[in-house]
Amino acid sequence: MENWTKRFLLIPCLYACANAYAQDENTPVIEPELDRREITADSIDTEDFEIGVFAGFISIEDFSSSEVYGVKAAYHITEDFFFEAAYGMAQGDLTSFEKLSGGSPLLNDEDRDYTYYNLSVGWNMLPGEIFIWDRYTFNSQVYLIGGVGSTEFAGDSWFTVNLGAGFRLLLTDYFAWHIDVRDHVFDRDTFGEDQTTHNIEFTTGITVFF
Amino acid sequence: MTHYLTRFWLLVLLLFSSGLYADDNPPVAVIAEAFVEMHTGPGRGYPVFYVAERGEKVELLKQRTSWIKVRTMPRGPMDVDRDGNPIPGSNTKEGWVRVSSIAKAEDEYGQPLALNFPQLENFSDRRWEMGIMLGDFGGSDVISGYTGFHFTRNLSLEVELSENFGSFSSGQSATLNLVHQPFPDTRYSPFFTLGGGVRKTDPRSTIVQTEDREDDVLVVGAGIRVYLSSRFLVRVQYKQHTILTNRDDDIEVEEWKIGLSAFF
Repeated sequence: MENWTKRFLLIPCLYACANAYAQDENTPVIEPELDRREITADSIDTEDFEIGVFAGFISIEDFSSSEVYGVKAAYHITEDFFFEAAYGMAQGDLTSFEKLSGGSPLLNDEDRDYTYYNLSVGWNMLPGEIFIWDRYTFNSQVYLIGGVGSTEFAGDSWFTVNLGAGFRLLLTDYFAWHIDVRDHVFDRDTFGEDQTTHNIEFTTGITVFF
Repeated sequence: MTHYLTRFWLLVLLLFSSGLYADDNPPVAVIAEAFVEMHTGPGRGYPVFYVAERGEKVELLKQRTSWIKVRTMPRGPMDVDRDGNPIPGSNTKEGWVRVSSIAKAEDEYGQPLALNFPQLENFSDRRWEMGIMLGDFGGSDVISGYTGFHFTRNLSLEVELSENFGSFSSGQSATLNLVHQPFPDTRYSPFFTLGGGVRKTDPRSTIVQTEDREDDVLVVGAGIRVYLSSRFLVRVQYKQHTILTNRDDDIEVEEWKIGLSAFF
């Protein structure tokens, strides 16, 4: 019985081998290398987009200073210039008048929400390297940035110009740490007459390139 | 049951690892120029620390703006540290080269690489355009961001988001526009546009307490694109907005804008 089983199993094995040899006869001796890779610009990973989060403090004119959080995205057009879009949120506190007078608040809580977005153009003014002892070298850029956007505060949205400077430290090729100082300037007439307000923001954040 | 779970996780692991390791085999280029300078960073200001010669093979790792990160093929044994252990990567050089400086590079079989890099001369063949615009919308400040896709050399489709800030009301609009440029090969290229979308108007809270309105809007306009450099263009445009209100009369608003855009 055991013999039969062996034979039964061996026969298909033989057939398989015979077939394999038969196929070998047909194949050419030298196989042309067909494993060519078409290299186009698309096969190289481009990392021109940068996306990240930031947090810090913003001084809202007349309404004390508060924490600010936000997200931003950038597209690097050349080594010198980039476009940036940012969205941030903060909350205005009581004005000094409201605190001292003890009267009814000038704005309700909802109108104290300070949100903004902006579209800016940045210039990598000072590209450089940071050396930490003998061991580490990181690329960095100091950039000037400015743009336009909208700030929603005290129940209305206001045309806002932003100007500032920032520092980007590339910890790896695709991971960066930012420090930013930005002045958000807008005219508002919340207290009756038009006044130009300067809202200075200091933030730090992390971004990834992809 | 546990077996199935293990198998499932192994499969997942395999899938992910194969995805991750796909990048471990970057394309290889053979340098055809007399020499190529390798910088420590993707910019002209970063120092040159190595010069690769004609015939040297480099792996193309990634691209940022018009710079490519390359790694030379291992040459000689690896350096060893104080304890005698080899230091990985010590017999290769990794740095950034300008795309235009290796434009003539070939692949391992002597075929020229199809590396493309932006040149001003090719502006009319670009596909994408995006930019920021600023201007006047019926006497109020207006800002816009837009993205356009050129599906033929003459026609493009643009999505534009705008916000304007007036003394009595502010508003936001989103429009889709068809743009036709009759002379795509000129650096000063006029265009005509037609589109439509929605517009939201918020009256100023200090003036009157009225409801926000949302209306349809039709847009017709014309303008000019001026191609400045290999990546930038300036755009000046005039648009007439017809806001289809549910009151007796439609509102017509004239808008002038100037903007800076990137095209690629």
